[in-house]
Order: sequence, then C-alpha cells, then structure tokens
Amino acid sequence: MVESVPAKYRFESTEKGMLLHLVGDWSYSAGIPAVPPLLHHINNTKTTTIAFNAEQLQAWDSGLMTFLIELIDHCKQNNILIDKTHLPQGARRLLKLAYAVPERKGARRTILGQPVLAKIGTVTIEMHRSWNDMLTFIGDMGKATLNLARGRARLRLSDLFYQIEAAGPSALMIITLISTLVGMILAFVGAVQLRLFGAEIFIANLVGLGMAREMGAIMTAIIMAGRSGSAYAAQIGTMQVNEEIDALRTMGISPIEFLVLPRLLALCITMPLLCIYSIFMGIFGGAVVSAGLFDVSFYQYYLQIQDFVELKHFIIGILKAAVFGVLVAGSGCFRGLQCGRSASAVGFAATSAVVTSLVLIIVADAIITVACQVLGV
Amino acid sequence: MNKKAPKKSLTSTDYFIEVRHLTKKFGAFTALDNVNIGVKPGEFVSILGPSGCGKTTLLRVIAGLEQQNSGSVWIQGNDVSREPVANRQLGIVFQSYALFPNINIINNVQYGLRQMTAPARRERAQEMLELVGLSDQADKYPAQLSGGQQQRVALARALAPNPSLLLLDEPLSALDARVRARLRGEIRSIQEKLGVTTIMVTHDQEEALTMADRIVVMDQGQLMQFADPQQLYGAPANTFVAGFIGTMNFLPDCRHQDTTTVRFLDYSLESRPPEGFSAPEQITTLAIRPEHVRIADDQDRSSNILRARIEQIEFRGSVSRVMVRVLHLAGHPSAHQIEIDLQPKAVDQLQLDARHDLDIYLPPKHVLAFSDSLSLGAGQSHAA
Repeated sequence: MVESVPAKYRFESTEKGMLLHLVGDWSYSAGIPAVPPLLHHINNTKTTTIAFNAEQLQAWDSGLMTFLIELIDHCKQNNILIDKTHLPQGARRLLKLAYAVPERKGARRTILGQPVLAKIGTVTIEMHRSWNDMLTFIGDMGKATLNLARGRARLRLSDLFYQIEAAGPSALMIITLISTLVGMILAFVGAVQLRLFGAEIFIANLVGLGMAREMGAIMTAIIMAGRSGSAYAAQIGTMQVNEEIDALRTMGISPIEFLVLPRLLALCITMPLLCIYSIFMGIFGGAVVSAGLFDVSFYQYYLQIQDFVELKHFIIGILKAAVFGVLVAGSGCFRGLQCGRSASAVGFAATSAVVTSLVLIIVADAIITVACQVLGV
Repeated sequence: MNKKAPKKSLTSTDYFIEVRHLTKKFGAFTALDNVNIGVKPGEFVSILGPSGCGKTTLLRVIAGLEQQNSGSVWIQGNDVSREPVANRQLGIVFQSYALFPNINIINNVQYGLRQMTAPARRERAQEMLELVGLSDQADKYPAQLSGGQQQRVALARALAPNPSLLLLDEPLSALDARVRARLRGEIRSIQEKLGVTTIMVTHDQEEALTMADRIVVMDQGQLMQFADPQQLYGAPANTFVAGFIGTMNFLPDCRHQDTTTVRFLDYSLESRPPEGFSAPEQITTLAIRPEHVRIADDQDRSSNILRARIEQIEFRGSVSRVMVRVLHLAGHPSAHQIEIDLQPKAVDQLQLDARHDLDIYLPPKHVLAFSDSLSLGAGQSHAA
C-alpha cells in the first residue's frame, strides 16, 4: 500500500508556461496548501499558461476542487490560460459542472450578523408593510360585510353551515373538558384561601363571576384560536399556494366574500354559544369541587350563584366571545391570505395565525375590561 | 361588472396588448426592469427565461394579480394598469392547475360563468370540455384525473368565459415528457382555432420554440430579445440569448485586429457583419453553433481555421457531438473547448477518435459577433 504523503505542489517553468505538479493526498481532512502564496508566485513570474501534472497525485476530494477553483478564478481575472487536460478525469468533470452555470447573484448568505440598527430598521419596515396589509384587509372585510347587509355579497349558505358545523358542535368535547377543569381549578384555588375565613360559600361567587365575565370567553377563544384560527390560515394558505385564490380573483369572485365572510360569520355565531356552554361547564366544575371537598352542597352553590351573579356579567362574557370570534377568524384568514407560495409558508401562516389571535384576544380583553370599569358595568 | 370605463389610449396602436416601461420591485429586489413588449391580435407569445428572471411576475402584472411599481399595461388600446383582474377579460391557466378539489369537473369549468343562466352555463361548460376532449369525465372530481387531464380542465375553465386574452403560466411544467409533447400540440391547435391572443410563460426553450409565434427572452428582470424563434436562434441579440437558446460555442476575450477580422488566441477570424453595430473594435466575443462548425478540408481557405484536438465523442442518435480543445498555433492546448455536431457516418469515415488532432473551419457567415454594449442595449427596444 502506498503511504499517504501530505498534499503539496511544486512548479516548474517550461517553454509553454508554468507546469504545476500536484503531489500527495489532496483530501480535505489531510490539509490543503494555501493558495495565496502560489498566486503571488504566479503574478511574479508573469506566466501566461498554467498546465498540471497529476501523476504523483494520490487521493483527492473537494479539497482539491476548492484549491483549483480559487486558482482558476484568479487566472481568469488575470487572463492566464489554464490547461486542465492532465488533471484527473473526475476533477475535470467536476470543474465543468462547477462552471456550467454562473453563480446566482445574491444566493450567498451575506446578512449574517446584521448590525442592531439595521435589524431594527428591517423589522420596522416589515411592520409598516404588515400594517398596510392589515388595514387593507380590515377595509375589505368591512366592505364585504356591508355588501352582505345589503344582500349583495356572494356568500354560499352551504359554506356558512359547513363552517358553523366545523367550528361549533365539533368543538364541544374539548370545550367541555377545558372549561370544567378551569372551573374546578378556580374553585380549588379560591377555596383554599376562603376556608381560612370560613367563607367557602363564596366559592360560588368567585367561580360564577370569573367564568361569566372572563374565563368562559377567554378559554373558548384560546381553544378556537388553536382549533379554527390555525385551520383557516392553513386552508386559505394552501389555496394561495395552489393559486386557487388567484383563480377566484380571475373569475371576479372576491376571496374576502367567498372565503373570509363565511368563516367570520361562523365564528361570530358559534363563539357566543360555545362561551355560554363553557360558562356553565366551568360553574359545574366549581360545583363538583365545592360539594366534593368543601361541604358546600349543590343547592347552596346554585342559590349563591343565582343571588350574586347577575345577568349583565353573562352578557359581558358573551359579547366578549363575539368580539374574540371576529378576531380569531380575522387573524386566521388574514394570515392565510398573506401566506407565501411555498408549502413551508402554510405552516408559518398557521403558527402566526395562532400567535396573532392570542395577542389580539388578550389586548381586546384588557380594553373591554377597562371600558367596563369606566362605564361601571 | 365593469363600472369604470378604462382610459382610452391617445395613440393608436396595432397591438392587442402592450406593456410600457414596466418595473416591479419586491423590497430591494427588482423583478421587472423597464420591460416593453407589444403583442399583436391572435398572436401566441412565449415568455422564456431561467428561474427567477421575472417571467411569471410579468405575466401576473399583465393579469393584474400583482401591481407594478411603474409603467402601464394596455389591452386593446385601453389603459388597464389599475383595473382589477376580473375587469381585464382574460383567462389564466395556472402552473398548479388551481382546480377546486371539492367540486366536480363540469362545475369547475362553469364556475366563472355566474352571469349566465344555469342551463346556458352547463351547455357552455360541456362545449369547452368537448373542445379539450374530456366531455366523458364531466362528473369526476379533479383528484380522479391525471395531471394532463387536470391541465386540460384548467384550460377549458380559462376559455369558458370566452376571454379575449389567454395567459398560461408554465402550464406543462408538472407533466411528463410525453404528455407534455401531446398537450403542446393540443394547446396550440385550440389557440389557433379560437384565435385568442395568448401569452405563455415557460422555462423550457423547446416548448417556446415549437409553440410560439414570437418569444420574449428575459434575464434578471430585463428583456433580452423579443423576436420570432428563427431570429432568436439564428441572430441572437446578445450572448445571453445566444447561450440560452440551443447550444452555442463561445470564443471569448477576442481582440480587434482590423476592419474585418478579430484576433482569438493566435488566430485571426472573420465573422458575419453584426447587425446593430458596425465598429469591429467593439467585438469581444465570437460564437458559432455546433452544427455550423466543419472539419476543414483542403478546399477551405486558410482563414477561420483553428487547430484542435478531439477530447471526447458522444453518440446522440441522429448526430455525434465531438468535443475538441482549441490548440495554440505552437501546438499546446488552450483553455477553450468547441463542440461540433457531425453525422455519425462522417465520424466513421473520417476515423475520428479522442486525442486525434485536426483542423476545424468556422464559416464566417455563421460566426456571430457580440459586444458587451450590445448585450445591455438590447433589452430596451421593441422587436416587433
């Protein structure tokens, strides 16, 4: 077996120009000689042609190719001819492939380690663009709703019923589970403190008020953001990728009226209903904990709720649910329509729909709560 | 539907559709850079270019699916630059077919015919399906059809509202070679039968050359040449078009020698007088197609003959491609290769094999000359 010799080169001046002898193991792991000293020598000798002798070349891999490409690029810039005839056949083929297609401009990663100010600038420009898109979407949605009110919107009732069915009854199981557990948790956490004062009976007030005003609507909205909002973004995003949205626009059918409106209406109708269901499930969960662990009977719990949790609290919760419904459907559809034209963009659209929904839900909840405080309701 | 009447052009024009000075940017990236084209009524124009050259963007701007940053789109003398896509009276066939998967074929085809009565819609859709030869598949769903059939449904759907302009966005790229070849003929014959002005985007030069009356060649958002297939192949306006359409041998780094010849390595070569510029000192690159290079015989004049060494011979059925390396006059190899197409019979008769040295003749009437300034300027002009 031939012993591996480290990669090295030597040059020889011939009458035709320079002859470069490639000697030893030219694989990356074995180490490749630096190119700049060779280029310096080439510049000094003012040679016009470089040929190779690869008779003593042993193993080689991409290490040899990077060396050759650097050398060839330099020679091209300096009008030095390269004779590749005596390079190994495989290397010649790889070089031919490497130079068959010119390097695509801008394909290299150049923005690694962007300065902080540049990053802030990029994010600001992106946000500005996103705001423009969002305002356009809100405007289009408003126009479509007006058209619907005037009976001019192109809305298929079958689509609306399908969306109601997909958003409402199908979500009941998960709403039951989550709301009951939330009611139980509220009751348990509250009861531990109230017990110190012998005031366990107020568990009913705590759970009833908490579920009716806040938690019913919030929990429903969070579930629907994960379930329906992301589904809307994925469905509309896939249609965007398949150019179905463009096809609709070509036929004069507004994607807002045709795709967004049924989903928006479906969530506007189902969210308040699901919220009512969620409130009762939460109250029921609280009752189970009160009766099971804290000696507050079901009847006492019921009477307490009836006396202290007024209808207005339920109405506020239900109204919130309707607002959250608009936000969840709007975010899902908006991110879907904004989706890029690749499969990975659909996943991104679904994720960003959920994030947008959650942020908007919490912000809207805070605004409504403050408004209610100011109005004294 | 079309409430606002589009602005009427002040200048009369023979073009059915015309784009003037179109520029489209996506952030810092320029997708279209001052593009001008004019398409005559009933013409089949193909937009050809490598991936990312802006050809689909051009089609989408013409359709109204993208808004240009500057420039205008004129259809039948009307400025439709700000009109929504639905008002432009066009049919589009998308690359991904864009059929609605939840409705059957006949309903897909009649989807865009909402202004018609139900029986008329169905009749028109059936007529269109017959035109594309799929009337027996009307009740199937898109997923039950093959790619080629789905594309024909998409064509039927695009043609159903009787559009004045048909836009095809790489309609055959997702199909296998055989189906593609058959559909090429079908699309062209339907287009000729209906006489509808058509613009097709493609990256497949064979598709463009065989189907189109004229071809727009684009690169990096710029129009490189707009001409008929023969002109593109025989008289490319610049080195990009020359290299993109068919196979071309380039002889770069040429230097001006005298009024009729240029210097390449140690040889002096004559070329066909180039159109558009007359000064030979502008010439930097010569080019010749593989089928035009000849093996020199005794009758050839001494000019335009290069000494070469055969490196490889590839048998390609009807022709054999011989790759030769140009030798310096002193006999040592240069860095330049030339490909020559010869009849396989000729290769046998001449007993050509690798490492064999020979003289090749580049007939001056087939040697094209290019200059950098010509390449850049060519993108700006109409080539009607």
